[in-house]
Amino acid sequence: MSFLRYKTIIEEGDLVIAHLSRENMTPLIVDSRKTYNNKFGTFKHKDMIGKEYGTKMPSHNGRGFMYLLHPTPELWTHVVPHRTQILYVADISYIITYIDLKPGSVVLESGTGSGSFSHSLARTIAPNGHLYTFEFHEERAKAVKKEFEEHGLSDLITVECRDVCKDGFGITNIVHAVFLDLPAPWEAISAAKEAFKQNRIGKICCFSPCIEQVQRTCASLNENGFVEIKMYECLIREHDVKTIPVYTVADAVNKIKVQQDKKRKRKDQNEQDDDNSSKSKQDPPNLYVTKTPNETKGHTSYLTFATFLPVLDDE
Amino acid sequence: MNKHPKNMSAVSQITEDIIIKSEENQEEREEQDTSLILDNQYIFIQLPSGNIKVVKLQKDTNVSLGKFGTFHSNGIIGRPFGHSYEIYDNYQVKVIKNVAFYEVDETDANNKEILDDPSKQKLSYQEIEKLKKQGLEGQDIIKKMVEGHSAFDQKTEYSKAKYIKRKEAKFSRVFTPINPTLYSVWEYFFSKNPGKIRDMRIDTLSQILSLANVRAYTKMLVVDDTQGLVITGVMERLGGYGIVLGIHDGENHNYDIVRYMNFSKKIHDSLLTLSWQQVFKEEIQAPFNYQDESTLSEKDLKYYLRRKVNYERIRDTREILWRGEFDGLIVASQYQPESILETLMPYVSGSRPIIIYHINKEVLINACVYMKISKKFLNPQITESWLRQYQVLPGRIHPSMSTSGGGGYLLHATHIVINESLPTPIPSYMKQKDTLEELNKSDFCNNNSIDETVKIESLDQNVTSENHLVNSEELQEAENKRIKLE
Repeated sequence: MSFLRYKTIIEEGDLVIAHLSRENMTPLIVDSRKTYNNKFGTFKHKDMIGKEYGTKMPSHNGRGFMYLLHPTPELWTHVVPHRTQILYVADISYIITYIDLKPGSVVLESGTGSGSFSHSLARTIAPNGHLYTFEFHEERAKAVKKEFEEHGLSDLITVECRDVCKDGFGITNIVHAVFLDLPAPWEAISAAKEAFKQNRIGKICCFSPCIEQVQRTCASLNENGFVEIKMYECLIREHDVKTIPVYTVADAVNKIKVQQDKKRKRKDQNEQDDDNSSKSKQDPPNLYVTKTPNETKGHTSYLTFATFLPVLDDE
Repeated sequence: MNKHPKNMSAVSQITEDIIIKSEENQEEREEQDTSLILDNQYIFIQLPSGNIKVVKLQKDTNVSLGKFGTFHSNGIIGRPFGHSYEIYDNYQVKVIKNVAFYEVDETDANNKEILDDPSKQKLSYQEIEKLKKQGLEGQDIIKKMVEGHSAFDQKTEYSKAKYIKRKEAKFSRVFTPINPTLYSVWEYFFSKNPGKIRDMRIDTLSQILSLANVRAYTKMLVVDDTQGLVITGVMERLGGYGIVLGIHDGENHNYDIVRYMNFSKKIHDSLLTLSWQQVFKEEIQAPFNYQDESTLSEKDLKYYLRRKVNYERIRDTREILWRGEFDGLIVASQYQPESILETLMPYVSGSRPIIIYHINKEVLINACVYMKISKKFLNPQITESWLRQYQVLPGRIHPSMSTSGGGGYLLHATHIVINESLPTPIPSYMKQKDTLEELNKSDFCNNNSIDETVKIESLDQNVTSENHLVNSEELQEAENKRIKLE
């Protein structure tokens, strides 16, 4: 139940995200017989038991440490076995708000991929909503199904292996929202239309990296009677905080003088050292600044949204 | 202090009770249906001009949309949200089909011959007003105007559609009721007065809710000076299962936005509030004078009970706060973030998210430095969200010509538990120096990679410290900087 409920103390069998650095995290199922070895040292699972989540734990041989983090869908996106391209937090967050998910929502997702987004969806619609997710790759469907069971999500999520573009979703008049992450979402839109709960408003989001896909998706949404067709792009940029020294022109002059002094000293080595050269050596004031990374994510996918209109009695 | 009806352990049970109580309700699957237009609820109405009006809908009343007409509320109550309605015969409404934008096709016509000439329109303003008075439907007026436009056929299909749209914005009597969702409520306040919600954009708000892992069965601590926008988002995601404790400015909270969501009682009950003054244990709450209720007159009793409930609510809420173990802290406040962290971090559990929003990055930079020095925070990081909308007309896809310039910044980190009983060595640099510059050169925020040479050195010195866990890159950078300048 760790994805749906927080725990304070780590126990046998719990899922812990071992955080070694921002780029290096590993999911561990606590098993007191096991030991986790990495370049920072040896960590015995049994040492984790009884500790609070969030503890900074030193290794057994004192070489380093790691943080024992509580699993969240956000951390899971970092450690998920990358079976497919996954969604990132900017897209995940915006989609969930835009398609109006909350506890109790019933939502359809296709394809499931690595199940990373499914974790975020399940988190938001719990405890009384439901996620129907479809994956046409059989091995992947099996793997995520097992994973949802391990993470206590199987009551919330129904996984089905199915080629939705060919065979539809097999569900009608049920869902409040639809998310399509497919190579050709337009092939699934008319089936998605049937899956919507027919007497209420609904939202659909199609996730495609190419503008040509967006164009075809929009045309299909329009043909199928969806309205309010809108498209967005959402990205996150980091700003790293650091300090820089702020030197002045006087420092620049001084630097030259110091160099000249050194040269002169080399010339007349016999001459006595005077303290002139070092007298003005002072640390400059520091300034807190931020810097954006040299390289960052420039594109994930286009998010095409549309609204499903409730069917009128005379239709 | 004559009577004390609740003992302390009972008070400390309250949080558990709330969570358990909501668990019992899990059976009631069909919550109040938010997809229907209901009596006595707030709705937004999109006008032909594109403006949005907020209305508290009451049955058996007329709703005025200004120059676009007036309709009778019963005409839309009980219907699902989604459709647009046209006013006809004064006060009556009928559903109209949405006109799809893809019906606009590309044609050979171009705007070469088009001149902006008002004389092309044969209908005068007075004539149009007369048509309106006759009770003619908006669509018919526009049709007449198109007929009266001598050069209409010369326009491209695209500009024809644009012309009709422009006329619709003026003469149409079509409106669309919009259900209050986090998105639509945000949209309304952001377009009306972004300053009131501290210029927070919806993508940033969405990220707050994700990063803070807000979901059912959590206990969130929120400092909200956004008129309750953040609180609203948190309440919706809790869905009545859990607690949100809002710390507010002033004596009484000003979470105005919450009410527009038409939350059920269950969701409303998940909101607890305290003022900054009430947060501090030193600030003693004025004791309440319990009286024998049977001796009070009916009028006095009502007043007495209200005061009693209020007193007990504050007392219990304070207990809930001080008991701690919150599942996260969200801050969107005018007050200095460092001081907020100092005050509230003791109440947050380990491995829980801390999210601070501000429209000014500079405020967050200082808070980020504070976090890095304090060691209680893992990976403090400032991020900025970037959102771009595209026009998606067939053959004419491009980003919007004008867009929001910024949606604010987030500083987020994970709360870390430093367990004193563990042999976590105190790094030597922490002992004397506490400026970021010094820290930058060493490991202060979990740069766990080991620089081999440094490691050997420290082993030679036989020192147990974290100094050997130095980020080689940063060390090198600092070194390079020094070399360059000397």
